[in-house]
Amino acid sequence: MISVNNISKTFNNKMVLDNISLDVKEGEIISIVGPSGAGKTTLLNIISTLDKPDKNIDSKVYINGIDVLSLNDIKLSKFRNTQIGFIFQFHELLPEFSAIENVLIPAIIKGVNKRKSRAKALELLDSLGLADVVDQFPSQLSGGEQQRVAVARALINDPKIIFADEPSGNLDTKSSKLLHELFFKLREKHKITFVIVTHNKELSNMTDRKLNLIDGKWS
Amino acid sequence: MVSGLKKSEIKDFLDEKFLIYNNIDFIKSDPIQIPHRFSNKKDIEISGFLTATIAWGQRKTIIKNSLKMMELLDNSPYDFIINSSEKDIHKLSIKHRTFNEIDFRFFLKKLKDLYQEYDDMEELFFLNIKKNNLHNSIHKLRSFFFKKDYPLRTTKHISDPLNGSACKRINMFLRWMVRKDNYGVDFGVWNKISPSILSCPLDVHSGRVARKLGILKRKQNDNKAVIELDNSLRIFDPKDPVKYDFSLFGLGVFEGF
Repeated sequence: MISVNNISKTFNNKMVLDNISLDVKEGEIISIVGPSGAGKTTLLNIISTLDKPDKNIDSKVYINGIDVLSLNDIKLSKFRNTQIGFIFQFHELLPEFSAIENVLIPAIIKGVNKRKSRAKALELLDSLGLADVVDQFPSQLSGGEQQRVAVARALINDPKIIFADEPSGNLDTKSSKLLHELFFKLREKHKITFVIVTHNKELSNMTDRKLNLIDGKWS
Repeated sequence: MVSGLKKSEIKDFLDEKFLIYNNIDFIKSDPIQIPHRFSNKKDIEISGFLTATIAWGQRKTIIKNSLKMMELLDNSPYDFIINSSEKDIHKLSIKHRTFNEIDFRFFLKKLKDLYQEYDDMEELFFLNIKKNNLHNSIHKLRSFFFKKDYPLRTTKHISDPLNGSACKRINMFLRWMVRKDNYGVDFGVWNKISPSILSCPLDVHSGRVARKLGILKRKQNDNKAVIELDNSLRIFDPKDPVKYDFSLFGLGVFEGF
């Protein structure tokens, strides 16, 4: 599903990632752990096409068989909108849009029929225990509810892969546990592959594989 | 093109995004909702002009303060401006960041003068068109406002393209008034001015997207950048180049492009 070969990244002459390779199978849930500043988010951003590695003929990132480093910005934008879901620590919901509107935005961008998308968004929100808050705005929701709305938004376009950066970093213990269990349910139901950067030991211990990144290298 | 993208590919991409973002669903939090409360041309242009003037900062605050301005004008801006005395205007008070009651009262007085000298705001802009853009018209509006006896502090609230400013807010206002389509966002209540001579409202977000696409090279967001961007967009659609403002805005805000 994901194949990363020989990725390096340098910022201001400092090597943040040093020749990293990684393979992730379909339906696998992996976690990337390590101390702050180890390069976890940089790696996630590169694998998820939000950033590019240093130029090197041997560097490759394949997602679903597609050489994403060869795509131009327009093709990348389309690729992201249709194939990938993102969940961040600070869910980045749009404050002026209700829960259901936030979920619908990626579907509208993808050009899916609005009525169909709405039905699907309602179903997703319902399955995440958010049926009663569909018309509420982010500021009216708890942190856990906001994060579940972000999960619904990440799922609306049926992504094959979800990239999550500290998804429970901003949640209390109970909400974190519910969110972590949700990832595994989604894997069972939709065969989604997850790549998760986390400091949360409980979550990383639940994943199929835990990869430790230290100073830009696997340890 | 700097980005290595083909022009046709960029045009197709921007056309696709225009259809997505020129949509009332995406403007519910936009200041354009204020002039949408009115149906009379002059009410639309006054409410649009005042709203655009204070359209910087948090959207929520812009909308709240624009609504407050409309309330102060009894929600009949044209009628209020034409029939109000200096004493009436002097009672009004508003504060939006650096736009305060001195600026607001002065704007109202000058709008009253404008409607005594011209049929409407459109006429002032129309009569001062030079070349193939509205830069001179904006300059003339500014000159009209700041001819004599004006508070110096208020001059900062109308930018001048001939002094190098990108004039984002007034170009946005002009897009609202001039662009006409069936999507229900822009008004198109100004019929004498062709959308082909509009300039794109350039800000940090639309500038970033335009540079990434390779249709803008200049680094500063100033009038020269506006001219460069306009030239690019006019190749894509000579009749309606500023429709791509929706594309650049949506890509920046909703897609983090």
